[in-house]
Amino acid sequence: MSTEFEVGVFVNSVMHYFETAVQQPAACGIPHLALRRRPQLGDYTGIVSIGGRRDGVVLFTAPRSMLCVMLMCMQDTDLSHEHLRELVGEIANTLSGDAQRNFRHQYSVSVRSVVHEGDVPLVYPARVHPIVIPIAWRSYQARLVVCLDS
Amino acid sequence: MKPATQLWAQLADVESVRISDGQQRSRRAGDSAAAGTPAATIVALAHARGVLPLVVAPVLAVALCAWWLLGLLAGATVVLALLPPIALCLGLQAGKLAAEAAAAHRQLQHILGSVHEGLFVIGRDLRLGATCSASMRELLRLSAPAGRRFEDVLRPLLDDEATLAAALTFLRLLWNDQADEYAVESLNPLSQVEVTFADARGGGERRCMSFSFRRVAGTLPADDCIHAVVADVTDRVLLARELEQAQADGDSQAELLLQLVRADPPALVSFLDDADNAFRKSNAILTAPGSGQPHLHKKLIAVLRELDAITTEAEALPFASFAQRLQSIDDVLTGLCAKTSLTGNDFLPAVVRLDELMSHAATMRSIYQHIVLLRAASAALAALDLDHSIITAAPAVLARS
Repeated sequence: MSTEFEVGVFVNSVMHYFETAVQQPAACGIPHLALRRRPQLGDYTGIVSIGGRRDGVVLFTAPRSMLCVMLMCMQDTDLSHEHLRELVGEIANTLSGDAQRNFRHQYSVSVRSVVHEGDVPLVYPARVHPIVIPIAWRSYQARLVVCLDS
Repeated sequence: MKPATQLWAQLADVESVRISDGQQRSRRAGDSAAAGTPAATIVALAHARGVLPLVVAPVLAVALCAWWLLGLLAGATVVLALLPPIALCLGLQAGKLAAEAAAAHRQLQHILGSVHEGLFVIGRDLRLGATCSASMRELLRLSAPAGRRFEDVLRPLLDDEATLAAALTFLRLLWNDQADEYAVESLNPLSQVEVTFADARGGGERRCMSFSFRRVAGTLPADDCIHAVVADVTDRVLLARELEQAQADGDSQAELLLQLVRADPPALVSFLDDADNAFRKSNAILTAPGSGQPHLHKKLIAVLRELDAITTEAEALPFASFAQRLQSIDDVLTGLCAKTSLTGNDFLPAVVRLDELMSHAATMRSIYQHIVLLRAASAALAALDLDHSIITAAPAVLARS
Protein backbone atom coordinates (compact mmCIF):
# COMPACT_ATOMS: atom_id res chain seq x y z
CA MET A 1 0.00 0.00 0.00
CA SER A 2 1.39 3.44 -0.86
CA THR A 3 1.80 6.12 1.77
CA GLU A 4 -0.65 8.26 -0.16
CA PHE A 5 -3.34 5.59 0.04
CA GLU A 6 -2.69 4.97 3.73
CA VAL A 7 -2.86 8.66 4.66
CA GLY A 8 -5.98 8.98 2.49
CA VAL A 9 -7.68 6.23 4.50
CA PHE A 10 -7.03 8.10 7.76
CA VAL A 11 -8.18 11.44 6.34
CA ASN A 12 -11.41 9.89 5.02
CA SER A 13 -11.94 8.21 8.35
CA VAL A 14 -11.84 11.50 10.26
CA MET A 15 -13.98 13.26 7.66
CA HIS A 16 -16.54 10.48 7.88
CA TYR A 17 -16.61 10.72 11.67
CA PHE A 18 -17.53 14.41 11.47
CA GLU A 19 -20.18 13.72 8.84
CA THR A 20 -21.86 10.90 10.71
CA ALA A 21 -21.22 11.19 14.43
CA VAL A 22 -21.07 14.99 14.69
CA GLN A 23 -23.34 15.47 11.66
CA GLN A 24 -21.44 18.52 10.50
CA PRO A 25 -18.75 18.00 7.88
CA ALA A 26 -15.20 19.15 8.48
CA ALA A 27 -12.81 20.47 5.83
CA CYS A 28 -9.37 19.11 5.14
CA GLY A 29 -6.69 21.79 5.03
CA ILE A 30 -3.48 21.62 3.01
CA PRO A 31 -1.26 18.84 4.30
CA HIS A 32 2.35 19.67 5.06
CA LEU A 33 5.41 18.09 6.61
CA ALA A 34 6.60 18.70 10.16
CA LEU A 35 10.24 19.31 9.25
CA ARG A 36 12.04 21.13 12.00
CA ARG A 37 10.19 20.01 15.09
CA ARG A 38 7.53 17.65 16.28
CA PRO A 39 3.96 18.58 15.36
CA GLN A 40 2.23 20.83 17.84
CA LEU A 41 -0.47 18.97 19.76
CA GLY A 42 -3.81 20.25 21.05
CA ASP A 43 -5.32 19.81 24.50
CA TYR A 44 -6.52 16.27 23.83
CA THR A 45 -4.93 13.71 21.57
CA GLY A 46 -6.08 10.29 20.43
CA ILE A 47 -3.19 8.07 19.46
CA VAL A 48 -3.16 5.04 17.23
CA SER A 49 0.12 3.15 17.44
CA ILE A 50 0.85 1.08 14.38
CA GLY A 51 3.14 -1.90 14.11
CA GLY A 52 3.69 -4.71 11.68
CA ARG A 53 4.81 -4.00 8.16
CA ARG A 54 5.10 -0.30 8.97
CA ASP A 55 5.78 1.26 12.34
CA GLY A 56 4.54 4.60 13.46
CA VAL A 57 1.75 6.64 14.96
CA VAL A 58 -1.42 8.33 13.80
CA LEU A 59 -2.72 11.13 16.00
CA PHE A 60 -5.90 13.13 16.15
CA THR A 61 -5.32 16.20 18.26
CA ALA A 62 -7.85 18.92 19.03
CA PRO A 63 -8.36 21.87 21.38
CA ARG A 64 -10.69 21.46 24.34
CA SER A 65 -13.14 24.07 23.02
CA MET A 66 -13.62 22.19 19.78
CA LEU A 67 -14.28 18.89 21.53
CA CYS A 68 -16.84 20.58 23.82
CA VAL A 69 -18.76 21.95 20.83
CA MET A 70 -18.55 18.56 19.14
CA LEU A 71 -20.12 16.94 22.19
CA MET A 72 -22.86 19.55 22.24
CA CYS A 73 -23.58 18.84 18.57
CA MET A 74 -23.90 15.21 19.54
CA GLN A 75 -26.57 16.21 22.12
CA ASP A 76 -24.23 15.42 24.97
CA THR A 77 -24.18 17.77 27.92
CA ASP A 78 -21.45 16.06 29.90
CA LEU A 79 -18.37 18.13 29.11
CA SER A 80 -16.19 16.63 31.80
CA HIS A 81 -12.52 15.96 31.36
CA GLU A 82 -13.08 12.20 31.19
CA HIS A 83 -15.80 12.58 28.61
CA LEU A 84 -13.61 14.76 26.38
CA ARG A 85 -10.87 12.23 26.70
CA GLU A 86 -13.30 9.50 25.70
CA LEU A 87 -14.28 11.51 22.64
CA VAL A 88 -10.72 11.68 21.23
CA GLY A 89 -10.37 8.04 22.16
CA GLU A 90 -13.47 7.27 20.11
CA ILE A 91 -12.05 9.14 17.10
CA ALA A 92 -8.79 7.21 17.50
CA ASN A 93 -10.84 4.00 17.64
CA THR A 94 -12.54 4.95 14.38
CA LEU A 95 -9.11 5.52 12.79
CA SER A 96 -7.91 2.20 14.13
CA GLY A 97 -10.99 0.34 12.88
CA ASP A 98 -10.60 1.78 9.40
CA ALA A 99 -6.89 0.93 9.40
CA GLN A 100 -7.64 -2.66 10.35
CA ARG A 101 -10.38 -2.95 7.76
CA ASN A 102 -8.26 -1.53 4.95
CA PHE A 103 -4.87 -2.97 5.78
CA ARG A 104 -6.12 -6.27 7.24
CA HIS A 105 -3.24 -8.39 8.47
CA GLN A 106 -0.51 -5.90 7.59
CA TYR A 107 -0.90 -3.74 10.68
CA SER A 108 -1.24 -4.35 14.35
CA VAL A 109 -2.98 -1.41 15.94
CA SER A 110 -3.40 -0.14 19.50
CA VAL A 111 -5.28 2.92 20.71
CA ARG A 112 -4.64 5.39 23.52
CA SER A 113 -5.96 8.81 24.40
CA VAL A 114 -3.89 11.36 26.23
CA VAL A 115 -4.53 14.80 27.61
CA HIS A 116 -1.12 16.39 27.39
CA GLU A 117 1.85 15.44 25.33
CA GLY A 118 3.91 14.98 28.46
CA ASP A 119 1.50 12.41 29.90
CA VAL A 120 2.68 9.66 27.61
CA PRO A 121 5.93 10.04 25.71
CA LEU A 122 5.20 9.96 22.00
CA VAL A 123 7.71 8.02 19.98
CA TYR A 124 7.89 8.98 16.32
CA PRO A 125 9.83 6.74 13.93
CA ALA A 126 13.37 8.02 13.36
CA ARG A 127 14.23 9.94 10.18
CA VAL A 128 10.59 10.25 9.12
CA HIS A 129 8.77 13.53 8.64
CA PRO A 130 5.27 13.43 10.11
CA ILE A 131 2.56 14.52 7.67
CA VAL A 132 0.25 17.05 9.29
CA ILE A 133 -3.28 17.44 7.93
CA PRO A 134 -5.20 20.40 9.35
CA ILE A 135 -8.87 19.63 9.99
CA ALA A 136 -11.06 22.72 9.98
CA TRP A 137 -14.42 22.38 11.66
CA ARG A 138 -16.59 25.45 12.21
CA SER A 139 -14.10 27.99 13.53
CA TYR A 140 -11.86 25.39 15.15
CA GLN A 141 -8.71 23.66 14.00
CA ALA A 142 -7.77 20.09 14.80
CA ARG A 143 -4.90 18.11 13.30
CA LEU A 144 -4.42 14.68 12.00
CA VAL A 145 -0.78 13.60 12.14
CA VAL A 146 0.41 10.54 10.26
CA CYS A 147 3.95 9.38 10.84
CA LEU A 148 4.79 5.97 9.36
CA ASP A 149 8.21 4.69 8.49
CA SER A 150 8.83 3.55 4.94
CA MET B 1 -5.44 -22.05 -8.87
CA LYS B 2 -4.48 -25.67 -9.32
CA PRO B 3 -6.03 -26.93 -6.05
CA ALA B 4 -9.22 -25.07 -6.85
CA THR B 5 -9.36 -26.63 -10.30
CA GLN B 6 -8.87 -30.03 -8.69
CA LEU B 7 -11.61 -29.15 -6.29
CA TRP B 8 -13.92 -28.37 -9.17
CA ALA B 9 -13.04 -31.77 -10.65
CA GLN B 10 -13.93 -33.37 -7.30
CA LEU B 11 -17.17 -31.46 -7.25
CA ALA B 12 -17.87 -32.62 -10.80
CA ASP B 13 -17.42 -36.20 -9.55
CA VAL B 14 -19.88 -35.59 -6.76
CA GLU B 15 -22.31 -34.07 -9.24
CA SER B 16 -21.82 -36.99 -11.59
CA VAL B 17 -22.77 -39.34 -8.75
CA ARG B 18 -25.94 -37.33 -8.36
CA ILE B 19 -26.57 -37.24 -12.11
CA SER B 20 -25.95 -40.96 -12.57
CA ASP B 21 -28.10 -41.72 -9.54
CA GLY B 22 -30.88 -39.65 -11.01
CA GLN B 23 -30.52 -41.26 -14.39
CA GLN B 24 -30.52 -44.73 -12.85
CA ARG B 25 -33.48 -43.80 -10.74
CA SER B 26 -35.48 -42.51 -13.66
CA ARG B 27 -34.46 -45.46 -15.84
CA ARG B 28 -35.50 -47.91 -13.14
CA ALA B 29 -38.67 -45.96 -12.53
CA GLY B 30 -39.47 -46.19 -16.23
CA ASP B 31 -38.79 -49.94 -16.26
CA SER B 32 -40.93 -50.54 -13.22
CA ALA B 33 -43.71 -48.42 -14.56
CA ALA B 34 -43.55 -50.41 -17.79
CA ALA B 35 -43.97 -53.58 -15.74
CA GLY B 36 -47.15 -51.99 -14.53
CA THR B 37 -46.98 -53.17 -10.95
CA PRO B 38 -48.22 -50.84 -8.24
CA ALA B 39 -45.09 -51.58 -6.20
CA ALA B 40 -42.86 -50.63 -9.07
CA THR B 41 -44.97 -47.51 -9.62
CA ILE B 42 -44.51 -46.56 -5.98
CA VAL B 43 -40.77 -47.15 -6.25
CA ALA B 44 -40.71 -45.04 -9.38
CA LEU B 45 -42.73 -42.29 -7.75
CA ALA B 46 -40.67 -42.45 -4.59
CA HIS B 47 -37.46 -42.03 -6.60
CA ALA B 48 -38.92 -39.42 -8.87
CA ARG B 49 -39.93 -37.34 -5.86
CA GLY B 50 -36.80 -38.14 -3.87
CA VAL B 51 -38.68 -39.76 -0.96
CA LEU B 52 -36.39 -41.24 1.60
CA PRO B 53 -36.06 -45.03 1.65
CA LEU B 54 -37.34 -45.21 5.23
CA VAL B 55 -40.64 -43.79 4.09
CA VAL B 56 -40.77 -45.94 0.96
CA ALA B 57 -40.14 -49.31 2.59
CA PRO B 58 -43.37 -49.68 4.65
CA VAL B 59 -45.56 -48.32 1.86
CA LEU B 60 -43.89 -50.67 -0.58
CA ALA B 61 -44.36 -53.67 1.69
CA VAL B 62 -48.06 -53.01 2.26
CA ALA B 63 -48.71 -52.44 -1.46
CA LEU B 64 -46.84 -55.60 -2.40
CA CYS B 65 -48.72 -57.73 0.07
CA ALA B 66 -52.06 -56.41 -1.12
CA TRP B 67 -51.26 -56.94 -4.77
CA TRP B 68 -49.75 -60.37 -4.11
CA LEU B 69 -52.83 -61.51 -2.22
CA LEU B 70 -55.04 -60.17 -5.02
CA GLY B 71 -53.01 -62.09 -7.65
CA LEU B 72 -52.94 -65.20 -5.52
CA LEU B 73 -56.69 -65.11 -5.32
CA ALA B 74 -56.86 -64.59 -9.10
CA GLY B 75 -54.72 -67.74 -9.64
CA ALA B 76 -51.38 -66.45 -11.08
CA THR B 77 -49.45 -68.22 -8.33
CA VAL B 78 -46.07 -68.89 -9.96
CA VAL B 79 -45.48 -65.46 -11.40
CA LEU B 80 -46.71 -63.76 -8.31
CA ALA B 81 -44.58 -65.91 -6.03
CA LEU B 82 -41.45 -64.43 -7.67
CA LEU B 83 -42.57 -60.86 -7.56
CA PRO B 84 -42.17 -60.04 -3.84
CA PRO B 85 -38.47 -60.92 -3.62
CA ILE B 86 -37.73 -59.01 -6.88
CA ALA B 87 -39.59 -55.98 -5.67
CA LEU B 88 -37.88 -56.13 -2.29
CA CYS B 89 -34.44 -56.30 -3.96
CA LEU B 90 -35.35 -53.33 -6.11
CA GLY B 91 -36.52 -51.41 -3.07
CA LEU B 92 -33.33 -52.13 -1.12
CA GLN B 93 -31.11 -51.15 -4.03
CA ALA B 94 -33.08 -47.98 -4.53
CA GLY B 95 -32.67 -47.17 -0.86
CA LYS B 96 -28.91 -47.68 -1.07
CA LEU B 97 -28.61 -45.43 -4.10
CA ALA B 98 -30.72 -42.76 -2.46
CA ALA B 99 -28.48 -42.88 0.63
CA GLU B 100 -25.39 -42.56 -1.59
CA ALA B 101 -26.93 -39.61 -3.40
CA ALA B 102 -27.77 -37.95 -0.09
CA ALA B 103 -24.21 -38.51 1.17
CA ALA B 104 -22.79 -37.06 -2.06
CA HIS B 105 -25.10 -34.06 -1.71
CA ARG B 106 -23.98 -33.52 1.89
CA GLN B 107 -20.34 -33.78 0.79
CA LEU B 108 -20.96 -31.21 -1.94
CA GLN B 109 -22.60 -28.84 0.52
CA HIS B 110 -19.72 -29.34 2.96
CA ILE B 111 -17.13 -28.56 0.28
CA LEU B 112 -19.03 -25.51 -0.93
CA GLY B 113 -19.41 -24.29 2.62
CA SER B 114 -15.80 -24.72 3.69
CA VAL B 115 -13.62 -24.02 0.64
CA HIS B 116 -11.62 -20.77 0.80
CA GLU B 117 -11.87 -19.99 -2.90
CA GLY B 118 -15.07 -18.66 -4.35
CA LEU B 119 -16.51 -21.33 -6.63
CA PHE B 120 -19.41 -20.57 -8.92
CA VAL B 121 -20.97 -21.55 -12.20
CA ILE B 122 -21.67 -19.39 -15.23
CA GLY B 123 -24.31 -20.42 -17.74
CA ARG B 124 -24.41 -19.88 -21.50
CA ASP B 125 -26.39 -16.66 -20.95
CA LEU B 126 -23.48 -15.45 -18.75
CA ARG B 127 -25.62 -15.56 -15.65
CA LEU B 128 -24.45 -17.05 -12.37
CA GLY B 129 -25.81 -20.44 -11.46
CA ALA B 130 -27.35 -21.38 -8.12
CA THR B 131 -24.37 -23.57 -7.14
CA CYS B 132 -21.68 -21.50 -5.49
CA SER B 133 -19.44 -21.68 -2.45
CA ALA B 134 -20.12 -19.64 0.67
CA SER B 135 -16.80 -17.83 0.33
CA MET B 136 -17.77 -16.64 -3.16
CA ARG B 137 -20.54 -14.53 -1.62
CA GLU B 138 -18.04 -13.21 0.91
CA LEU B 139 -15.27 -12.52 -1.61
CA LEU B 140 -17.45 -10.75 -4.16
CA ARG B 141 -19.75 -9.36 -1.46
CA LEU B 142 -22.92 -10.70 -3.06
CA SER B 143 -25.93 -11.70 -1.02
CA ALA B 144 -27.90 -13.52 -3.74
CA PRO B 145 -25.68 -14.37 -6.71
CA ALA B 146 -27.97 -16.94 -8.35
CA GLY B 147 -29.36 -15.73 -11.65
CA ARG B 148 -27.40 -12.45 -11.70
CA ARG B 149 -25.61 -11.44 -14.88
CA PHE B 150 -21.86 -11.76 -14.49
CA GLU B 151 -21.54 -8.40 -16.22
CA ASP B 152 -23.65 -6.74 -13.51
CA VAL B 153 -21.52 -8.34 -10.81
CA LEU B 154 -18.26 -7.15 -12.38
CA ARG B 155 -19.26 -3.67 -13.53
CA PRO B 156 -19.22 -1.92 -10.11
CA LEU B 157 -15.96 -3.64 -9.16
CA LEU B 158 -13.86 -2.77 -12.19
CA ASP B 159 -12.38 0.65 -12.84
CA ASP B 160 -12.50 0.59 -16.59
CA GLU B 161 -15.00 -0.57 -19.15
CA ALA B 162 -12.24 -2.04 -21.31
CA THR B 163 -11.46 -4.80 -18.79
CA LEU B 164 -15.16 -5.56 -18.43
CA ALA B 165 -15.61 -5.77 -22.20
CA ALA B 166 -12.53 -7.99 -22.48
CA ALA B 167 -13.86 -10.28 -19.73
CA LEU B 168 -17.22 -10.68 -21.44
CA THR B 169 -15.58 -11.33 -24.83
CA PHE B 170 -13.36 -13.90 -23.14
CA LEU B 171 -16.35 -15.72 -21.62
CA ARG B 172 -18.21 -15.72 -24.95
CA LEU B 173 -15.08 -17.10 -26.58
CA LEU B 174 -14.93 -19.80 -23.93
CA TRP B 175 -18.45 -20.82 -24.93
CA ASN B 176 -17.46 -21.02 -28.56
CA ASP B 177 -17.31 -24.70 -29.57
CA GLN B 178 -14.83 -23.95 -32.35
CA ALA B 179 -12.30 -22.20 -30.12
CA ASP B 180 -9.35 -24.02 -28.57
CA GLU B 181 -10.27 -24.16 -24.88
CA TYR B 182 -6.70 -24.09 -23.57
CA ALA B 183 -5.65 -21.27 -25.88
CA VAL B 184 -8.67 -19.23 -24.76
CA GLU B 185 -7.99 -19.87 -21.07
CA SER B 186 -4.55 -18.31 -21.43
CA LEU B 187 -6.22 -15.05 -22.54
CA ASN B 188 -8.14 -14.60 -19.28
CA PRO B 189 -8.18 -10.82 -18.60
CA LEU B 190 -9.29 -11.42 -15.01
CA SER B 191 -6.41 -13.70 -14.02
CA GLN B 192 -5.22 -10.86 -11.78
CA VAL B 193 -7.35 -7.80 -11.53
CA GLU B 194 -7.74 -4.92 -9.08
CA VAL B 195 -11.28 -4.39 -7.92
CA THR B 196 -12.89 -1.72 -5.76
CA PHE B 197 -15.64 -2.48 -3.29
CA ALA B 198 -17.56 0.73 -2.74
CA ASP B 199 -18.53 1.62 0.82
CA ALA B 200 -21.40 3.67 2.13
CA ARG B 201 -19.29 6.79 2.55
CA GLY B 202 -18.37 7.04 -1.12
CA GLY B 203 -14.91 5.57 -0.67
CA GLY B 204 -13.80 2.15 -1.69
CA GLU B 205 -11.70 -0.78 -0.61
CA ARG B 206 -9.25 -2.01 -3.22
CA ARG B 207 -8.45 -5.68 -3.45
CA CYS B 208 -6.66 -7.85 -5.96
CA MET B 209 -8.66 -10.79 -7.25
CA SER B 210 -7.75 -13.72 -9.38
CA PHE B 211 -10.46 -15.36 -11.48
CA SER B 212 -10.03 -18.56 -13.44
CA PHE B 213 -12.57 -20.14 -15.74
CA ARG B 214 -12.97 -23.56 -17.29
CA ARG B 215 -15.70 -24.74 -19.56
CA VAL B 216 -17.14 -28.08 -18.48
CA ALA B 217 -19.26 -30.30 -20.71
CA GLY B 218 -22.28 -31.91 -19.04
CA THR B 219 -24.00 -35.15 -20.03
CA LEU B 220 -26.56 -33.06 -21.89
CA PRO B 221 -25.75 -29.86 -23.83
CA ALA B 222 -28.03 -28.01 -21.44
CA ASP B 223 -25.78 -29.08 -18.55
CA ASP B 224 -22.69 -27.37 -20.06
CA CYS B 225 -21.37 -24.59 -17.89
CA ILE B 226 -18.28 -22.60 -17.03
CA HIS B 227 -16.76 -23.42 -13.67
CA ALA B 228 -15.26 -20.29 -12.19
CA VAL B 229 -12.90 -19.86 -9.26
CA VAL B 230 -12.18 -16.53 -7.59
CA ALA B 231 -9.54 -15.91 -4.91
CA ASP B 232 -8.36 -12.82 -3.04
CA VAL B 233 -4.67 -12.48 -3.87
CA THR B 234 -4.14 -8.99 -2.44
CA ASP B 235 -1.46 -9.99 0.07
CA ARG B 236 0.45 -11.98 -2.55
CA VAL B 237 0.32 -9.12 -5.05
CA LEU B 238 1.42 -6.55 -2.47
CA LEU B 239 4.31 -8.74 -1.42
CA ALA B 240 5.37 -9.18 -5.04
CA ARG B 241 5.19 -5.42 -5.57
CA GLU B 242 7.22 -4.80 -2.45
CA LEU B 243 9.89 -7.24 -3.60
CA GLU B 244 9.94 -5.59 -7.00
CA GLN B 245 10.22 -2.17 -5.37
CA ALA B 246 13.01 -3.36 -3.08
CA GLN B 247 14.88 -4.74 -6.06
CA ALA B 248 14.39 -1.54 -8.03
CA ASP B 249 15.52 0.49 -5.01
CA GLY B 250 18.60 -1.70 -4.67
CA ASP B 251 19.46 -1.21 -8.33
CA SER B 252 18.87 2.53 -8.15
CA GLN B 253 20.98 2.79 -4.96
CA ALA B 254 23.90 1.10 -6.72
CA GLU B 255 23.41 3.37 -9.71
CA LEU B 256 23.17 6.40 -7.44
CA LEU B 257 26.39 5.41 -5.69
CA LEU B 258 28.23 5.31 -8.99
CA GLN B 259 26.77 8.64 -10.05
CA LEU B 260 27.80 10.22 -6.75
CA VAL B 261 31.37 8.88 -7.04
CA ARG B 262 31.66 10.42 -10.49
CA ALA B 263 29.95 13.71 -9.57
CA ASP B 264 31.75 17.01 -9.33
CA PRO B 265 31.85 17.65 -5.53
CA PRO B 266 31.21 21.43 -5.44
CA ALA B 267 28.38 21.17 -7.99
CA LEU B 268 26.78 18.30 -6.08
CA VAL B 269 26.93 20.04 -2.70
CA SER B 270 25.56 23.23 -4.17
CA PHE B 271 22.71 21.32 -5.86
CA LEU B 272 21.77 19.44 -2.68
CA ASP B 273 21.76 22.68 -0.70
CA ASP B 274 19.59 24.42 -3.27
CA ALA B 275 17.21 21.44 -3.42
CA ASP B 276 16.89 21.34 0.37
CA ASN B 277 16.11 25.08 0.44
CA ALA B 278 13.50 24.71 -2.29
CA PHE B 279 11.80 21.81 -0.51
CA ARG B 280 11.70 23.64 2.79
CA LYS B 281 10.31 26.76 1.11
CA SER B 282 7.67 24.68 -0.67
CA ASN B 283 6.64 23.11 2.62
CA ALA B 284 6.53 26.52 4.29
CA ILE B 285 4.25 27.78 1.50
CA LEU B 286 1.88 24.87 2.14
CA THR B 287 1.97 25.46 5.90
CA ALA B 288 1.05 29.16 5.60
CA PRO B 289 -2.53 30.08 6.58
CA GLY B 290 -5.27 30.49 4.00
CA SER B 291 -7.57 27.82 2.67
CA GLY B 292 -9.82 29.72 0.22
CA GLN B 293 -9.70 28.93 -3.50
CA PRO B 294 -7.47 31.95 -4.37
CA HIS B 295 -5.07 30.98 -1.56
CA LEU B 296 -4.93 27.37 -2.71
CA HIS B 297 -4.20 28.36 -6.33
CA LYS B 298 -1.60 30.91 -5.21
CA LYS B 299 0.14 28.28 -3.07
CA LEU B 300 0.07 25.79 -5.91
CA ILE B 301 1.74 28.21 -8.33
CA ALA B 302 4.33 29.22 -5.71
CA VAL B 303 5.31 25.59 -5.00
CA LEU B 304 5.52 24.85 -8.73
CA ARG B 305 7.82 27.84 -9.19
CA GLU B 306 10.10 26.72 -6.35
CA LEU B 307 10.40 23.21 -7.72
CA ASP B 308 10.85 24.34 -11.34
CA ALA B 309 14.17 25.94 -10.48
CA ILE B 310 15.43 22.70 -8.97
CA THR B 311 14.13 20.66 -11.90
CA THR B 312 16.24 22.76 -14.28
CA GLU B 313 19.29 22.31 -12.07
CA ALA B 314 18.69 18.54 -11.71
CA GLU B 315 18.49 18.11 -15.48
CA ALA B 316 22.03 19.47 -15.76
CA LEU B 317 23.31 16.81 -13.35
CA PRO B 318 23.34 13.09 -14.06
CA PHE B 319 20.90 12.04 -11.32
CA ALA B 320 18.09 10.22 -13.07
CA SER B 321 16.42 9.02 -9.85
CA PHE B 322 16.20 12.58 -8.53
CA ALA B 323 14.90 13.99 -11.82
CA GLN B 324 12.31 11.20 -11.97
CA ARG B 325 10.99 12.03 -8.52
CA LEU B 326 10.89 15.74 -9.33
CA GLN B 327 8.98 14.96 -12.51
CA SER B 328 6.47 12.93 -10.52
CA ILE B 329 5.69 15.80 -8.15
CA ASP B 330 5.62 18.23 -11.07
CA ASP B 331 3.02 16.05 -12.81
CA VAL B 332 0.81 16.07 -9.71
CA LEU B 333 1.02 19.84 -9.32
CA THR B 334 0.45 20.49 -13.03
CA GLY B 335 -2.62 18.24 -12.82
CA LEU B 336 -3.93 20.34 -9.91
CA CYS B 337 -3.42 23.55 -11.91
CA ALA B 338 -5.99 22.32 -14.41
CA LYS B 339 -8.62 21.94 -11.68
CA THR B 340 -10.99 24.83 -11.15
CA SER B 341 -11.88 23.87 -7.59
CA LEU B 342 -9.22 22.67 -5.18
CA THR B 343 -9.41 21.15 -1.72
CA GLY B 344 -6.65 20.61 0.81
CA ASN B 345 -6.89 16.89 0.25
CA ASP B 346 -5.84 17.38 -3.41
CA PHE B 347 -2.38 18.37 -2.17
CA LEU B 348 -1.83 15.10 -0.33
CA PRO B 349 -0.11 13.26 -3.25
CA ALA B 350 2.21 16.26 -3.75
CA VAL B 351 3.13 16.33 -0.03
CA VAL B 352 3.81 12.58 0.04
CA ARG B 353 6.07 12.94 -3.02
CA LEU B 354 7.79 15.96 -1.49
CA ASP B 355 8.56 13.82 1.55
CA GLU B 356 9.97 11.07 -0.67
CA LEU B 357 12.07 13.61 -2.53
CA MET B 358 13.47 15.00 0.72
CA SER B 359 14.31 11.52 1.94
CA HIS B 360 16.04 10.80 -1.35
CA ALA B 361 18.06 14.02 -1.14
CA ALA B 362 19.03 13.12 2.44
CA THR B 363 20.18 9.67 1.28
CA MET B 364 22.25 11.27 -1.49
CA ARG B 365 23.88 13.63 0.95
CA SER B 366 24.60 10.83 3.40
CA ILE B 367 26.18 8.63 0.68
CA TYR B 368 28.20 11.57 -0.59
CA GLN B 369 29.50 12.30 2.93
CA HIS B 370 30.63 8.69 3.20
CA ILE B 371 32.39 8.97 -0.14
CA VAL B 372 34.16 12.14 1.04
CA LEU B 373 35.28 10.38 4.24
CA LEU B 374 36.52 7.38 2.27
CA ARG B 375 38.41 9.62 -0.12
CA ALA B 376 40.02 11.47 2.80
CA ALA B 377 40.97 8.20 4.48
CA SER B 378 42.38 6.85 1.25
CA ALA B 379 44.42 10.04 0.71
CA ALA B 380 45.76 9.83 4.28
CA LEU B 381 46.79 6.21 3.77
CA ALA B 382 48.50 7.09 0.50
CA ALA B 383 50.39 9.90 2.28
CA LEU B 384 51.45 7.48 5.05
CA ASP B 385 52.71 5.00 2.47
CA LEU B 386 54.69 7.76 0.80
CA ASP B 387 56.28 8.86 4.11
CA HIS B 388 57.13 5.25 4.94
CA SER B 389 58.86 4.68 1.59
CA ILE B 390 60.88 7.91 2.04
CA ILE B 391 61.99 6.86 5.54
CA THR B 392 63.05 3.37 4.41
CA ALA B 393 64.76 4.67 1.26
CA ALA B 394 66.76 7.50 3.01
CA PRO B 395 69.38 5.41 4.94
CA ALA B 396 70.27 3.46 1.80
CA VAL B 397 70.81 6.67 -0.17
CA LEU B 398 72.94 8.12 2.66
CA ALA B 399 75.05 4.94 2.85
CA ARG B 400 75.75 5.06 -0.89
CA SER B 401 76.79 8.72 -0.68
